[in-house]
Amino acid sequence: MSVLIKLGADGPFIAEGAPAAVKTEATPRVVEGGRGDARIATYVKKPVPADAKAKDWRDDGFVPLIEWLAGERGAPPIVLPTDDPFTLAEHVALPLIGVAFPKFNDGRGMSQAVLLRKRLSYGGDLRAVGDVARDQLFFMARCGLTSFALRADQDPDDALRAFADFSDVYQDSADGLSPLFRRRAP
Amino acid sequence: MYRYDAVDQKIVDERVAQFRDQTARFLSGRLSEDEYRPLRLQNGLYIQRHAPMLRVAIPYGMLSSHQLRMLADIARRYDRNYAHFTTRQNIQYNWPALERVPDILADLATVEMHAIQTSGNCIRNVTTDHFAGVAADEIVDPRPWAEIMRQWSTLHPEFAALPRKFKVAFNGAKDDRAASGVHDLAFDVYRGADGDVLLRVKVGGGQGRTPRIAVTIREDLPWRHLLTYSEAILRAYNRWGRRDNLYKARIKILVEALGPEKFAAEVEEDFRHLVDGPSTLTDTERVRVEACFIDPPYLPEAEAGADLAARRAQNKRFDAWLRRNVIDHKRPGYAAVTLSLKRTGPAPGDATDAEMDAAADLADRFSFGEIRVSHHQNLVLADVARRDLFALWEAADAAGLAQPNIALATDIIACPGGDFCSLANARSIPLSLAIQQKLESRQEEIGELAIKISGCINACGHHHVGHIGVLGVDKHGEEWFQVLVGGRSDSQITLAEILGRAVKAEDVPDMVARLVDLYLAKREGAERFIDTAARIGIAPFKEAAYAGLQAAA
Ligand code: SF4
Repeated sequence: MSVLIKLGADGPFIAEGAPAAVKTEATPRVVEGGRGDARIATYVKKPVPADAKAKDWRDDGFVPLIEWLAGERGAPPIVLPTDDPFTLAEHVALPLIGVAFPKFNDGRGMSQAVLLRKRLSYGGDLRAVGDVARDQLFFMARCGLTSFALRADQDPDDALRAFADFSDVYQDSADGLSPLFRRRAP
Repeated sequence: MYRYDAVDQKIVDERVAQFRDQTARFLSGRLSEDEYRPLRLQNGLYIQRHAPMLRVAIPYGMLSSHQLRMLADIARRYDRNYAHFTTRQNIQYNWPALERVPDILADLATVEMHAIQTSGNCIRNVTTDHFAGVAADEIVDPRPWAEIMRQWSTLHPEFAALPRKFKVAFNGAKDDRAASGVHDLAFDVYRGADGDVLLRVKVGGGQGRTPRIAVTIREDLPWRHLLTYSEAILRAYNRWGRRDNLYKARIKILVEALGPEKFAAEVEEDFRHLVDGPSTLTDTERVRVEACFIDPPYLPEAEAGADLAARRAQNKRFDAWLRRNVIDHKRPGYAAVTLSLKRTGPAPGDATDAEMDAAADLADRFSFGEIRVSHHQNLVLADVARRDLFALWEAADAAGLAQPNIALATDIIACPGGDFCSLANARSIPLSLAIQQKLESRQEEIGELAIKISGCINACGHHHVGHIGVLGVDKHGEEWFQVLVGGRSDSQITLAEILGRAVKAEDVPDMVARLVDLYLAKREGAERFIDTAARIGIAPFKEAAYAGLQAAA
């Protein structure tokens, strides 16, 4: 199973899954030192992106929001990028809501999380599910996500460090920090 | 100018550490190419035609001489002794080695610089008027507002994976020198009846495949709401902007699809919940940031001015330079001077390490140690005492930075094009050289003429707002160009019109010359090219453009 990270009062911790569960076999890339290495061009080739539509969030333990609202209540709802988060207005007492990240470069889940936290004052666990990788975690936590179902290939120890990438931030989001300009020493 | 405090410095230092780690993971094979791409892009690192390219942010174009020397030093130590100033007031290195980019960023951080969000689908480097703070027609200095926007947008967690890039500009003058109308989001900064600062909010401008002029969605927004209103706009875009088609993903398409009224209503609805919230700007913050942009210690005795008449009479080149490269300043006795990076030869906007060092020295000697980058790809010394102008000219001339061609035909804006850029259809740089050579001897006679060249439809060379625009297109693998006329990026912003079918690269300089000849034949009084084009319309230019060209071409 994949690793689940949660944000606790003392910071992030591994809530499920073995800490050293997945260390991917890595092959170092050869980069010629120096300028204008033509071999760099091989980096540009794009792997075919995984088909986001094919994903069934039930495998991740969630029911897509629309089906959940229609009565399928076997698992907590997950808000997809195109969903209207305000349809959960009556359900803010839920202990867990998922936010779907079908692709790491789709930032809509960030706004869904912010709206759930700030407009609906949702206070339960808000979980990032899907293409959840180390380099998105810092921003996800700022947007009010409190648990993170890591993608299977992610190194959990490394992922834990992501939450400390920055020791301060400029702007207000949904993690309770006020904007830096309200905290600066005069 | 704005100076980092301990927190600003820490954030930039931590960003360097983060990127060093990401690059190490990429090089060790632990991070896929697909995932490294957005991370490196948000640190300005592209993979271009021949090599990586690193774009470094110059927030709203402001540099200290110290920073410019570091940029020169980086060109020397990590690149091929030159760099390229861009139409977004940034600087690009064309030949850095990927594995050394973290070291470059670390060096930049020592002079309060970074490459954060100079690329990628995020809020990009904020731009403004290169004469901000000194222009005689300025209403409000836009730089404090641009700096506040820079900080807010830096590492914004919610808006780091937008549908597409997002460019913000500020204009605080009567004459818009920031090309604000072709930005995703732009603010006109002005004063209300009570003297307090207000904002006009414009969205959905841009060039590229679907050029659009930004539409105003809010007038008279009090300055305190700059960030909350921006948050509402960005959230609407993040949620509803198209992600299925790269060419329909900019905010202009969303604004057009919804209609400006509906888009504005959505923004206002969200803003209603944000207004007066934590991101509402405070007097303390305004005072803190404005204090960074106060006037330098102008010398009262300089106000007596200088009598340059004798020098001008003796020296024609100095006289031409004064007319072309020097503009009036809000303070009598001072002037703002443009150092031209448009030499017939080097690519427009390119500067060598020695030239950057020389410009930094000039800034120290003549302009309080500050220098600006204009979106016209030139450098500006904004605060020069008029009595120093001759000495400055001599020194700039010795450094090769005194071409008297600002706003003339050889002051061409050109993107890097096919010589560097992997998206290009055609090479902009050789074409700009050919046009410069064609028109150089007549440029004084022609007067103000903005020629802008893009190597592809992405329009980094701003061809849509050129008096004459030139656009590279691909025809059966050959380089062809479309020529446009009638665009402008000032307060009367207008998009240029395509004259007709594309022509081969070698036919473009003659075609441009025919357009110029038509203008000279038709101009009345002191009309500029753009005035004549506006008066007589596009049809005569269409006719002149193709006269003498083989119909079968
Ligand atoms: S306009 Fe096209 S060719 Fe020129 S720099 Fe932009 S993307 Fe590259």
